Amino acid sequence: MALDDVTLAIGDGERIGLAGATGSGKTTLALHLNGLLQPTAGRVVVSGRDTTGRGLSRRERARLRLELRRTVGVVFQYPEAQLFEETVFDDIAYGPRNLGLPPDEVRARVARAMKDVGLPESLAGRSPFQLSGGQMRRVAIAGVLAMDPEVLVLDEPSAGLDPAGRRALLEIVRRWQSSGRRPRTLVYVSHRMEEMAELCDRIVVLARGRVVADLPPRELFASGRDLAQFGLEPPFAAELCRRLRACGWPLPGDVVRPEEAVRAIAEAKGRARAGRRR
Amino acid sequence: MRDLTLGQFLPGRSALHRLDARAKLVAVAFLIVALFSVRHPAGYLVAFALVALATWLAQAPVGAILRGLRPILVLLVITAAINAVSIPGEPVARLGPLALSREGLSVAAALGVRLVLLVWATTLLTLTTSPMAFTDGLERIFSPGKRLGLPVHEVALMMSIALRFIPTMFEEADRIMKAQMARGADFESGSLLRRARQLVPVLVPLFVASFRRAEELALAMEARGYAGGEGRTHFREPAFTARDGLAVAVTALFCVVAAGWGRLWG
Repeated sequence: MALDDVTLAIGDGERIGLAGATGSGKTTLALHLNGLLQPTAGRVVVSGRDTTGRGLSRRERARLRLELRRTVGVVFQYPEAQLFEETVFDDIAYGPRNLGLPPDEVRARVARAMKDVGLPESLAGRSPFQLSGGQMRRVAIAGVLAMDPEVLVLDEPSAGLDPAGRRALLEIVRRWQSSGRRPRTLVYVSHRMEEMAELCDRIVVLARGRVVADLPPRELFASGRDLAQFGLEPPFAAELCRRLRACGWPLPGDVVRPEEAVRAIAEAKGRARAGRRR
Repeated sequence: MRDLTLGQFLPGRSALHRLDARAKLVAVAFLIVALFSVRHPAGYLVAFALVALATWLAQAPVGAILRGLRPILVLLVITAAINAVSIPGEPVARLGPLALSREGLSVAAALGVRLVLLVWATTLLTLTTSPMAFTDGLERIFSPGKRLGLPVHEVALMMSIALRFIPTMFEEADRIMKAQMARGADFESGSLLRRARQLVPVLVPLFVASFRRAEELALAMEARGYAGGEGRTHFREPAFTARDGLAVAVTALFCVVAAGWGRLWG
């Protein structure tokens, strides 16, 4: 069984990190969110609608499917593998066209999505297969953003990117999440705690198909829970502070980001120096 | 697709599993020839006895083999029905304008038995022979063709690579389909033309991925020193033992009896 006894509520505008080692079921869970997979037992409810469409007619069910795909955009792992059109424009337009939008609207959506992911307009007419790996990934992400989803699910979006590409990606996601009329909902699937500590308000840890923790990053790393048993490790800054504390440094237990660690360590040093002077 | 036993390999240690792949290939070839030259109905019984014996030796799950026969059942019923009504002869029953002839019925029955035994035997072959041993056996049987300039090694290698990557391709196709469905693709409704067109977003990435994978595989093979079939040795050197010879001889005997019944005697 890939998932077992998972109970999870994701609120509007929340930024959720879905963490877990390979094979923990995080991708399976992500695919349940837009109805691509359906639970064998239990229910998945998106904006008040059951994703199985039980009790609906064929036509209604098809409409529900499309509505779910529009509401919850899913960017797959290595999404550049799904590119197929002759031009970047057409590939990004694939989703909006499937939604049955008029050509004007499609064009506007594509232009906006390209801007959102930082692709220059001049690339619109190029073949996606001529682009670099990083650009291809941006095109694929733009293809999902162009559907204007209310919830964005990203499955290991930073896999295979270099540090600069990873930083740019985080920025794209952050901007998208906060730039709507109201904050949008984000589900960020990864095993990189660093990225989730940067982006998310809540981290849900999956292990062997079960939810083993569901806490804000600060509390998760401060809880002293041994993440290694779930095949994960805390962000570098949190781990550094934990080890320094173990050596007797007076540091707070809820450090998550590098800049916080720097500040905490500087303060501790300052205090120590002041103490010596006295 | 799930219960397709045809072409599947079931690892095991039975007598049939341990036979040399060449012996099994030759035996199946004999049986095919024999099945198509049977003259007397008793010949089919002999052929059936041979296949039953092989099934027992393979310790194969009979239920799974019979389930594997299901896909050809439709084909079987249709061809048998066409034969039964289209061959002229002494009528035994009438269905409106159609007459069932005795000759037609016997041809239809023979055809059915032939097809079932054929698929049964080939299923046994693939069930007890790993794809590696299978292609290796083929390569060895046809290796005299190398002297005639036939690319025997290359064809065998291509076959084993193709077999190896079928499950991978299925997985890949499933992933890409899901990714396009997430972008609103609908593979389940619409006209035939619309559905065919909806396959483009799946096929293009699948081809792109296959070409990339082929290149990577070629690189990986070269990195491990692959330089064509010339002078290549094998990790497992199959040996054609007395047991394999015996198996081929027994098969040949059965086949001669099956095909000779009504020809040479009786």
